[in-house]
Amino acid sequence: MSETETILEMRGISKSFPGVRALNAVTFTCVKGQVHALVGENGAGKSTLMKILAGVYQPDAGEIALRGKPARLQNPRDAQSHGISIIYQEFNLIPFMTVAENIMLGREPRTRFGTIDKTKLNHEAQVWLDLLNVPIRLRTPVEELSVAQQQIVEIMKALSYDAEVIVMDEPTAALTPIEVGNLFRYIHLLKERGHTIIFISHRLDEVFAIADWITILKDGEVVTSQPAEQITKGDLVRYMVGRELRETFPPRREPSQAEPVLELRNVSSPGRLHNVSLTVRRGEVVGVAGLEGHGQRELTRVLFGLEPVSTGQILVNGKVTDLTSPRKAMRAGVAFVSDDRKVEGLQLPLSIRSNISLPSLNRLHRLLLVHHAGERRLAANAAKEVDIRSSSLSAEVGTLSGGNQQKTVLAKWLTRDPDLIVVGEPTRGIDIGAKVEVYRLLRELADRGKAVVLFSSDLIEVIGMSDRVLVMHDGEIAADMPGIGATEEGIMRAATGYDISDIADLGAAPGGSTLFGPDMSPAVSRQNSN
Amino acid sequence: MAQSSALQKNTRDTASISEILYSQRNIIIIYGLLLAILIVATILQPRFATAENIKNVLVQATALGIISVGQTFVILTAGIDISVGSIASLVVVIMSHLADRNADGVIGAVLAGLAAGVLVGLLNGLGITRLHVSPFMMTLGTMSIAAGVALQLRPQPGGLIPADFGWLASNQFLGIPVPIYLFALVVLIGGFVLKFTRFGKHIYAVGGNEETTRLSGLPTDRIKIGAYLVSGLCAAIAGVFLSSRIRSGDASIGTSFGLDSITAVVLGGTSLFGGKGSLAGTIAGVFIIASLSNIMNLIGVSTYYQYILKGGILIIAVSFYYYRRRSHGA
Repeated sequence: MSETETILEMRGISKSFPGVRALNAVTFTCVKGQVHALVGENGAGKSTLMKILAGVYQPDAGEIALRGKPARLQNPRDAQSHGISIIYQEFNLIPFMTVAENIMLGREPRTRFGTIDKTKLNHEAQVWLDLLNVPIRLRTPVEELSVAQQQIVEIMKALSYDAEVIVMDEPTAALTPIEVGNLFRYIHLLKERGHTIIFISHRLDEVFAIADWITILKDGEVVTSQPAEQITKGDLVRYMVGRELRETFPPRREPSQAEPVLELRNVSSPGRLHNVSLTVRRGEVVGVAGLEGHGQRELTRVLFGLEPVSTGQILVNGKVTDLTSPRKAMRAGVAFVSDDRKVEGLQLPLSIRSNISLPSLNRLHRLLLVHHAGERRLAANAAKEVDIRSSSLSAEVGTLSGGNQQKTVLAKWLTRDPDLIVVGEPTRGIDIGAKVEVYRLLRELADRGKAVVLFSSDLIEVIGMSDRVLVMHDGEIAADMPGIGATEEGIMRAATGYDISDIADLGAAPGGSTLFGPDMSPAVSRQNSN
Repeated sequence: MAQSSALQKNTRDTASISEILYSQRNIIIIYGLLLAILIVATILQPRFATAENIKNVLVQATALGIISVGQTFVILTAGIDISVGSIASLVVVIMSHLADRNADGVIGAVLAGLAAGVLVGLLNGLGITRLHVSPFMMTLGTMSIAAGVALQLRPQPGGLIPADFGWLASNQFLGIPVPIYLFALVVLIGGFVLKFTRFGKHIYAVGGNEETTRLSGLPTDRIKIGAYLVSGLCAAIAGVFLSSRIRSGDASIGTSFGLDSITAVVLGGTSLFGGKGSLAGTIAGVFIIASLSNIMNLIGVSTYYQYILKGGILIIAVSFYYYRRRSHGA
């Protein structure tokens, strides 16, 4: 196999959606047997590019070649038959079917009588388990597997389709560090067999640990595409966000001494939070950061009665307050902007107006009747405040852009005039322009004396927005640092619970339980991976 | 409006004509379809369009119409109530016992009938919210239970409700049959509740997204129970009307109403996923079903054809709603 056999070539790919130019003349080339990392901020165009590769979207311009031959990928089936498999963050597995049935789905071997030949099916599936040496039982229903194990099933499924190019969309997002190490072991196996992996991740350390080649996308264009060893972490961050950090975020403040809006005293939640104490003051934006699954999300959910509290006290505005249900939390002046706005934040089939007025309907009635004029006024004012752009407030929320949807959620909670605003992943899936507006809005709310607790898996966002950053590790608050001066490295250090010097040692430890430290140089990680 | 001028240039408080037309597209489609059916019916049989026959159609539509009002509440919450037909039968049977040749028992019988309907509705609501049985399964269960109780009480049709009570189904007031007033009253009250009360807003909210509604501090369980109570009550009112019409007890009289009311609601553009739809659409759906059966009778075609036609129209109408949504969706 020659070192530079090009397997996939996407040339001059452009794609626009109404109002957004998602990709602009993107060229993306993969070499056989390499791990090619595709990085960029949310909304940079990574998913659009991969959906074009998967045949889900058709490009407006540009061409795709596989093994040097032009290929038309008009639907997912075309892509599959050209040897392209995509493993999405949400797996395409059928939960109550077994591992073997999932791997062989749609291609089950038949007996002479046309029924499914279970013996043969298990036999054929076993080949893939043996190949990767996976410690999973064939007859286990997929729903009984961990997320990491399900991911391996997806990989085996891809292999069984003779996939030469396997795209993994944020494969590590829901994995523990040890599971990440395992996944990387499988990726190396795939590489050795000549498969090409396109690896999409927000975790730059992982990118450096696994990638041979890195392509950076920003605002729908390729910023650079180079061998991984020629890019430093600093370059990567600069390429991805660069100078925009300063332009994107409104100015932060020094930690204040204003009166506390929220205090937690030794709050524990079974299996999730351990003795968390913190104070959030009037006018403050406090960010909560950490590796995924270390309690950040749970901490924010405790504040709205969505996670149980076993011990400890919560004080709102200086008074011990019962926040055990959303209603009680709302009455105490808490607003909750969920990280999953489609499931927990919006009524997609309803109008913007109905969405905004929902939490305030109880104050909008005369006798038993809804005060329609009052509702209109309330919704119109809130919509104006957050600058929702839509043809009218009667429009269905489901038809809006992500940015306008998020503004609708904010508007809805502003009608309650809360003292504390809890915000999860405030800019997930929205474009950069709307992001800036959301940041500005959150800061304005803080300036008006409200307290904002923000949780995000985007470290740049946490650093850029927060006056103070709380870093969580294993359900505890591991660090409390001023936002000004906080760095990704500093946060990661606290979040992993290790010093940088320790990480290099751990990385070399046997057993694949690699923790990829932020300051690991590419050279070091390459040694580990071989 | 004053506040609309204060709004950003991009977002008006009120919708433009074209937006109103677009947002009401399902209503426009369904009333267009109804109109087309009425025109074709009149061409096929001019007698269809006489005042007498129109009154007839309306009276025939009354029971289904009232039941479909309740069904609309339930389906708007993303639920379904297939027990309504059995509830109507049960009410008829209860009345045929309590008012059997007994004019003094009529008022008590009506109240007992209504109470029975509300009780089954309450059971539905509690089972769905407290026991977490899916709406389909829960109402399938109560459908069977109510039908069983009705059959136990009246294995064969029988009983005689006094002729005095026949006024509800047969009399006219100002030249218009009483059932039409009853139908109109239920529709008006239902429409008023959906449009102007908090409960109505909450119904749409729960159907739009239950979790979001709960996180907005609303009592979603109580709202859902309320919807099934309304549905049970409407089915019981229809039962009272039916017993005035046939004046005896028949445990199978309501059988077809369960699926017919769902057909009417869905035909009327209400989404089975909840949150979207209106009573106005449902009424059109009811009229379409009632006119089909009427015109078949008038032109002497086997009424069995109405099932075929009804099924075909349902599938076409729903596919059309879906097509529209897809082509305009985000």
